[in-house]
Amino acid sequence: MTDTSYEGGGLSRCKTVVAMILTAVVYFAASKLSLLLAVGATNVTSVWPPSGIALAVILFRGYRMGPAVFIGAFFANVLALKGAGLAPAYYLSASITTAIGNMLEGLAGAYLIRRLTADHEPFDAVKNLFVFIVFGGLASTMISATLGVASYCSVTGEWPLFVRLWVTWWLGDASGILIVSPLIIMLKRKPPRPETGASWAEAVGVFVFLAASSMAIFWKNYRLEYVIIPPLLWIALRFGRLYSALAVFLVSGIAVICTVSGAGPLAEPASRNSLMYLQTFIGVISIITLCLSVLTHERSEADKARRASQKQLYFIVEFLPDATFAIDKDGKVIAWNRAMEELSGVLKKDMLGKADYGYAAPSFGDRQPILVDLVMKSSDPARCEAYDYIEKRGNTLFAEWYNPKINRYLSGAASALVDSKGNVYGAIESIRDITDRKVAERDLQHYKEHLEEIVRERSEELVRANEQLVRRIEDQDRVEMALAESEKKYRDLVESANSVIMRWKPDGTVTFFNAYAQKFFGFTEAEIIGSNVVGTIVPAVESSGRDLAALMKDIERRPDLFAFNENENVRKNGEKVWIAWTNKPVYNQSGDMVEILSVGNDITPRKTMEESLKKTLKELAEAKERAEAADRIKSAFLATMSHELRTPLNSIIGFTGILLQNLAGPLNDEQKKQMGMVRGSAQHLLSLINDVLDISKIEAGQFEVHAEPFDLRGVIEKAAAVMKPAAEKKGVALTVAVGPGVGSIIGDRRRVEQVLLNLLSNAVKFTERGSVALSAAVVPEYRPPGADPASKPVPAVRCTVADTGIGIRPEDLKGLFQPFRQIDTGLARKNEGTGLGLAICRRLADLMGGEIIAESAPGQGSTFAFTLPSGGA
Amino acid sequence: MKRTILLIEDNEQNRYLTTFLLENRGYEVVSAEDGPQGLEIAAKRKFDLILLDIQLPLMDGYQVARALRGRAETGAVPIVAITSYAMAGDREKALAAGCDGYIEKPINPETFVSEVERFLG
Repeated sequence: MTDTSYEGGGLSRCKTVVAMILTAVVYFAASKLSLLLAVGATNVTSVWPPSGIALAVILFRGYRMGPAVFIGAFFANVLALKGAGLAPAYYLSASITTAIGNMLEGLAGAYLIRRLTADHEPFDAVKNLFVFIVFGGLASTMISATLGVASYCSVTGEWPLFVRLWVTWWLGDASGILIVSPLIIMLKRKPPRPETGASWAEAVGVFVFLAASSMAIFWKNYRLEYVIIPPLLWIALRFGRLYSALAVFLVSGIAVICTVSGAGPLAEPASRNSLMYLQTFIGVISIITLCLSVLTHERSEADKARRASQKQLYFIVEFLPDATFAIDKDGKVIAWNRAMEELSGVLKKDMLGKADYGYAAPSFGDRQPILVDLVMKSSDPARCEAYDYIEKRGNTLFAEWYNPKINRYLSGAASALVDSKGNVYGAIESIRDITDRKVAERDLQHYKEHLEEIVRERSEELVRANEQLVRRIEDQDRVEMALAESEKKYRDLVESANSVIMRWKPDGTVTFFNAYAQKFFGFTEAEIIGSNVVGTIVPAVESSGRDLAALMKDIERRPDLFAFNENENVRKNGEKVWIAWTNKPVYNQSGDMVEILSVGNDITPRKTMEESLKKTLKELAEAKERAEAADRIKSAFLATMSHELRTPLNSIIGFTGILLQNLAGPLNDEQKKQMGMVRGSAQHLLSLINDVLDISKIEAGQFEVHAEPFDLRGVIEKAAAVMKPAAEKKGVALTVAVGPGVGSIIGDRRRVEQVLLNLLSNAVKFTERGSVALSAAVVPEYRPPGADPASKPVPAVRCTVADTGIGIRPEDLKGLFQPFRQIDTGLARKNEGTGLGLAICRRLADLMGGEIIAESAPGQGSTFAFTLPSGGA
Repeated sequence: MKRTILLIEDNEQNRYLTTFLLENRGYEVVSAEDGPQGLEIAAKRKFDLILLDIQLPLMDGYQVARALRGRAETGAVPIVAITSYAMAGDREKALAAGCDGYIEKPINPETFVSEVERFLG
């Protein structure tokens, strides 16, 4: 073996060979010893420990140990059968068969155990132990029993014993396996030390007691078989599997040795049954003890694993930033981290190991099953109303809730804790404060809704705006087309307009000056463009004294306030002109005012006219004032004159009357005649005064006519009666004819009387012969002169005075009603009068809403018709 | 017993004319030359009628009429104004001032007394 590359393999192979040799030797030795326990002169023993050795070796050394077992078993059988005095052919063939059975038993047992425990150690779990007992102990041993007993019977011919021998063989092998294999496997694996915390003294004590009680039973034959049960159970529970296997081995060994030696309760040589009792006893106690020890081991291993995982969990929980805790299956708290302390206000030391839902505090503030409990149950978590939201995703329960006691929104996740074997051993819950997120979500929701609303509004606005835009674009298209058309027109118009058109900047600089403006002001384009308006076409100060420079500044600042403005301007030759300006700001696209467009029209003639008109109006007003003052003076003068003239006349007429009445003594005829003349003259003077006063008042507009009901018929008759004496005196007939219906009318009685008397007195005055006829008649529909032709006619009365006198020439008729136009007839002297009578009559008739019309021809007499409305003026 | 008439008239001739006409018919006439004098006399005696010229110095006839009407002793005495019928509204003004009637100037000496007697009741 110089090739180092094969060194390992060589060493391994070497070790295997050594192991095989050792196995064969041990098996052989064990067999030799076991055969001492054989029943009679057979190779059938009550207990066959080599089977246990074979199974153990094959289990942990592999199937290669099978042949070693065969060799060991072969030689052991050969020696055993040779001693029985059999022919070599027989005992050799029997030995080979038996050895094959022993080998197959081990191989089959090991195979089945490995296969069914998935290569686990058979004493780790109760499940594996049962595989060991059933397949390794009871099933595989049937091969050995069958082959061994068959070969024995074929050699000895004792076939009738087959069944009994088979059972003995089978049970012997089985108990051998149950007693020895565990011990070997345990010894191989574990240091000889109690598995639990038990002390050596205790172990020694129990074993001494076990050995003593076994000896008492199997050697001294005390019927105390069951006394060994308590120490075995004690060992199984307290000291673990190795010591249990040892104890079983001890008890079995004592029992077998004693029984084979013929002592004890099972030693009944006469009956083969005793062997079976022994085997059964050994099998039962070994199975019970092994089961119990494995069970205890399994428990303690599980506990250990759980404690380890809980420890691990504890550290993990401690490490987690979220508030986290864990409970075990019984609801006891096994982990409670710092964040949980803060959230719940309960310290870890007060919580660990506590149950009764004390951990529910952060969730609901009182003790009740929470998420962590729900997750351990299989109930439907969706039904839990304690949470705002709960959902199971995979193995984890998620929930959200609000705890009003701490005014926080919380989110929790809980999951069951499952060990490596799939068993739930607790649950873990982690809680996170999501208040900020919830608030943010709520705010976000509000914001979102608000945003949606804004978007909706904006969308609507946009739609409207778009519609407007479309309309505006359409309008603009039309406008632009129209604009293009009119632009040329405008250009022509501006250049040829009979108006001043100019543009100037807000600093006063002229930028455009049309042809008319140049002609009008006398400036060439070169002279005016770029110049300031003030000093060129605008004088600094107007003739009226107005500060035009300041005015221009105001216009430049706010042209919109001076849309229409009139001011004085000046031509280049110094001639002052008045212009009516229209000013308009011109904006650029940014909305800044860049220029002012001004259109001006020459209003100098109008201004001049206005000035002279003003002057005339002023003069007129003054004249009117003077006239009114004169009128007032005239009225006052007339009133005074009337009084002053009447006062002496009153005396004259009064005293003349007294004298003529002879109240102051009798007068002679001459005196009476002259006094009569005085009275006549005085009365004529009074008439003159009255007429002048009347005409003056009429002319001054101070004459008032009354509107009172009066009896016109009476007035007519009275007037006729007054004039009757004068008419009779001249021999002129005065007739009166008042028509039906003439009665009371509305008017001024005195003035009507005055008119009638005047007309009658004229008629009598100018009639020498013939008659004067006064008549009156109703005129149903009368429309006064000057009245609206469309106006409704009114009822009236017409009084007519017709004479047969001298008549009037046509040329005299025209001026008949003018004041002081007494007709020069040569009769003037004879016919005294004021010359005012008819003028007053006509005016009175006018004032009363009526009229007087004269018809006459020389020598034909005259007719005066006086019409006046019955209802007044 | 003679009936007494107070005549307030500034013009001497007219005062004499009126007094003559009335005394000629048996009336006692006391005359005053202006308003204040008339008022003074009217306060001292009881008159059956007062004839009052309108155009008077110091106080015009309207003022005198109002003063007479405002006094207990003359409040019920008939007052007849003698107007010159110069301007529109003179008669209305006389009546409004408290006069019971009016007689136009120039007076008619034949009818004057009978016109006055109408107001004596």
